[in-house]
Amino acid sequence: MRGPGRGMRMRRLQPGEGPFLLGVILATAALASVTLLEGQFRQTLLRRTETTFGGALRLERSAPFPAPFLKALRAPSLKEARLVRFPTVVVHGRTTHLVELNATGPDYPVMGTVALRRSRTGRAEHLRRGPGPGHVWVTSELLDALKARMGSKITIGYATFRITGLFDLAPAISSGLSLFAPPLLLNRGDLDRTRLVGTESRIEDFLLVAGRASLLTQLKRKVRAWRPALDVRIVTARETRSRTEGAIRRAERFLNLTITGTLLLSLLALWLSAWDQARLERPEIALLRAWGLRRRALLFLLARRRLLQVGVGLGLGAALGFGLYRAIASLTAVLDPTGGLAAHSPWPGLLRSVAMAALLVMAGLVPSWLWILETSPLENFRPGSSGTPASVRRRVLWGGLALLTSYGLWYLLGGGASLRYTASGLGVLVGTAGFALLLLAGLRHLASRGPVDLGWVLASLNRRSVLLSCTLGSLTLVVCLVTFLLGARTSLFAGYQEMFSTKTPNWFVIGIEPGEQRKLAALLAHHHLEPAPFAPLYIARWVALDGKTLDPARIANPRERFWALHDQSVSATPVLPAGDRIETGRFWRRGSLRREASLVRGFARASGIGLGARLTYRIAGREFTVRVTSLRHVRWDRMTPNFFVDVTPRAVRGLPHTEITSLRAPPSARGWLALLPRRFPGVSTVDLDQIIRELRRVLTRASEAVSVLLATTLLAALLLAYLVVAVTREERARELTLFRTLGVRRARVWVWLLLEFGLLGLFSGILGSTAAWALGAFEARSLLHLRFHPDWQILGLAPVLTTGLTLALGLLAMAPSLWRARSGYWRSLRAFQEL
Amino acid sequence: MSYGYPASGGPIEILREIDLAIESGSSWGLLGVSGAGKTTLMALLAGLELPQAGSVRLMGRDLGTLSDDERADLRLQSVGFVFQTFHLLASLTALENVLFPLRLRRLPDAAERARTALAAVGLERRLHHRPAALSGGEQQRVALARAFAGSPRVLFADEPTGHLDSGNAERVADLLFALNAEQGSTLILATHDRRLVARCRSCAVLEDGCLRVGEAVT
Ligand SMILES: Nc1ncnc2c1ncn2[C@@H]1O[C@H](COP(=O)(O)OP(=O)(O)OP(=O)(O)O)[C@@H](O)[C@H]1O
Ligand SMILES: [Mg+2]
Repeated sequence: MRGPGRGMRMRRLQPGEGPFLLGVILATAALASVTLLEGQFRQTLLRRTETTFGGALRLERSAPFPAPFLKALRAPSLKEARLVRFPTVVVHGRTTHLVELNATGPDYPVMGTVALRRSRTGRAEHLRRGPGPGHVWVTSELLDALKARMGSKITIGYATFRITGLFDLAPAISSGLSLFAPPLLLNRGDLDRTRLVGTESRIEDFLLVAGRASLLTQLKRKVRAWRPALDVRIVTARETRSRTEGAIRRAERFLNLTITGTLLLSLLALWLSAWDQARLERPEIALLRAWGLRRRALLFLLARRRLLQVGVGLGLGAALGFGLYRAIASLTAVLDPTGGLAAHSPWPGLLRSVAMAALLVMAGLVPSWLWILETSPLENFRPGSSGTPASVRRRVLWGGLALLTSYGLWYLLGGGASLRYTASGLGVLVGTAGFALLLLAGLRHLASRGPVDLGWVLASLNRRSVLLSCTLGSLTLVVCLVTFLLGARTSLFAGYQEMFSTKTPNWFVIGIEPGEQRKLAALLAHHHLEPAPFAPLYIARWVALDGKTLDPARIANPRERFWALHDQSVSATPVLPAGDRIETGRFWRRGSLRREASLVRGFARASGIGLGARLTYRIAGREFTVRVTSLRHVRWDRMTPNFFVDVTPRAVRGLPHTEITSLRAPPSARGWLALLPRRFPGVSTVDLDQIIRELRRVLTRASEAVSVLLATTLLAALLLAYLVVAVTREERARELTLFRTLGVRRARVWVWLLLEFGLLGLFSGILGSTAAWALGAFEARSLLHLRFHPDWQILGLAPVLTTGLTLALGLLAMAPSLWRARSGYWRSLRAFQEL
Repeated sequence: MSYGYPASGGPIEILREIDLAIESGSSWGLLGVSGAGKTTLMALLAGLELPQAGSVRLMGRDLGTLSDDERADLRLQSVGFVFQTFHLLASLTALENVLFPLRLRRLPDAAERARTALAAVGLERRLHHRPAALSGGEQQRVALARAFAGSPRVLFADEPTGHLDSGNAERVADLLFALNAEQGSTLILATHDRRLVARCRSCAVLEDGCLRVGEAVT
């Protein structure tokens, strides 16, 4: 056994081994780089969210946390900061204003920074602390509303403070969108001086936490142990409702889809190259079997022979993937300076992708080896004369199962792709395979009739039904995925564009007295500003559900209790607000006389309110009841006033309210708008530009990430397409030379070759384009949370491009053989030994 | 003419200054030990390869002056070649293999001819089998049928009976010589089988790259 074994290991690379090695390297590289990039982007995005959120985790309670509780939670390497929040009134001279007071301790913030300006026009500094004793920081809106200036003294409760900073964004502070009560930052040490907080005071107590994931899990467990007695909510950055959420989640899903696609393509590429490799070894294995080598020994031999090659391929691939990842990451500046690359170790991702690649190569090689070993030597010397033995079929089935299991493992290990995406991918694959088989039947029928050229091309195409199905299926998958991702990317960006379009409102005007609405509208029109439709805003307290009075102390659902304890913004509208979508139920007709309500679905679900529930609210001592008749989906990122609860105008007729609107104002109008509160007492203006800018930063990163990953997927797709075409190259090359010896002109041989590859490309292009459209039409909404606008240009171009691509790749794959044949086809024909 | 296979250390000389003329319509047998260069000489005569020195004329045309495509046309229209290793198209059935060159020539009765040719070599029951499902001898006979089905003016047969039992070999030989006699096609044979060569009108032996023409056949 040693003899042949050593001989087999010592020989040089044989035809087919080069591409195999290349395939392993490139597929591993694609896998590794995508895994790493994906991890990086996910971290970056999460970090962004966490920074705005103020921590990785937030504990919330509608009353102060008891000291023993806080003490129990403390852990040495966990960063914690307490934040106490309650609404109160500030006084400046004769002006008063409702604010949302945020008292920060010395540890604040645990994540992110406060962007603080010392003067209205000054540049923002980024500070990792809150205000010092005796100081308060406010938003410029509040400064205006109070008619105060920097350094002014204001009174809160029994204490006086000096305004020393203007902040635009601060971690964990709701950023300017709390419409009535702008936020204010104050040192927690000053809280006692205000004498506003007693033991029974209604405050929101927050504990912002950051630290290692394992510590956070531990913390959650501790909190749960306390929960029956204390009503503590655990909120993670991911769960927060932020205006960025929808967009980020879409980007994340797109990333998921892209990684699944790349995974699937790399998987196929690896498997295919391994399978092709094993196929080329068939005569050699058969010979060794015929010489009397035992099956097990031969399997061992084969594995040993490939070990080095696969090892080298995986190693080089991982290195290449890592290099690619670093290059792309730094080129596109997608790294977050506040804690991206340094905090993100590449090892787990690298190891995971290498393990996966190794599994896949083996999944391609071993079944093929088994197949060959199980087949009799005679059969192996003359392949194609009979079918697959049942034992092999069984083993291949096991191999397939192993592959699926390994995929499942990958998924469990945090590869990120959900089963749902995989299911749709597999569905497309199976569908196209079926279609390919159908096509095959048609080809067989045609091949016997048409002219000889077409006849040969068709005969050549359907030389092996399994091969053709594989080829078509893989190419189709390539086209489908790339087309779909390109289309989805367009849709995704269209969504962003809409968000940052020149029409997106960047100012909110709130607190408009109904009587002043007309005057304000006229003034805005005079300045060529076009406000969104005015929406009425009722501050209501939820008092009863289905006729039963709510007793906050006895409500189990924390969300429900939260809303029972807090005032809520309710709006009335005759029609469904633009951009909203009804998910269940029906929205009322204009002029409806019923008392109905439409709730945002997520809010309704979290608060335990279903369709048909009767809600009773109290406004200024008067109660009204509405029935929930629809649940809505709201696009929060549209920057228009949105409300959790909308009711029919009839339900709230005559109740006190104010109006609210949003508008798009050019920078030149900034000063003028800031002065609006002076002309309309009670009105406040909120500048959203800061938030939009922040949002744009995040989304630009996300879209960069998406583009980069798409490019990597394209790489994997190209590789797969090449391998698919290259699988038959030996056979094709032999035929090519034979035709020439038989007396076929050179040009004609070329035409056949091109026709075959062209047809292959065309078929799969059409199939893939159709599949992409189907995927987009049926899945885009559930997968990506976006409306899929089929990009007809891309869908139409896909078959053309695929045809061109297949032609190019086909010729590329054939190039070595064609090159060899150039020196004399007769000699090159002699080089092809009869099997 | 002379020929040598190109190799790294200069060409390996196979044929040395061969001077040969075969009369149209005759039959000519080539003998030689294994590795003598029979196949190589046949390839040169059929225009599959060009000599490094000297020239080859096939049916009055100097192959060296023809373009690659013109030589291809000449082969397609007037030459039949039975390869020693058959070289059938694996994706086509026996019948399709024989049909292939006929359909390339757009012969109206291609199907008819192909069936007749296969029947002539005793394969009428194996029409729809692919090469992989045929024995070596059967494959050889398909290759033979492919070569003569188009009634070529010149038929090259490289070891046409090498894989056949004596009965079948006899039949194939009869067929070849009948074609030669009836259709007047030139038959050029390379073989180890002296009995086959004995039936040729003239013959030669290849030895050390040189041709000894008309060597006595025992
Ligand atoms: N591509 C090649 N490169 C170098 N030498 C070659 C090549 N092809 C054939 N030869 C050599 O040329 C010589 C003649 O080969 P050829 O096939 O013509 O012999 P042959 O007489 O047909 O033998 P056989 O009776 O075994 O078929 C052989 O010695 C062979 O080794
Ligand atoms: Mg020979």
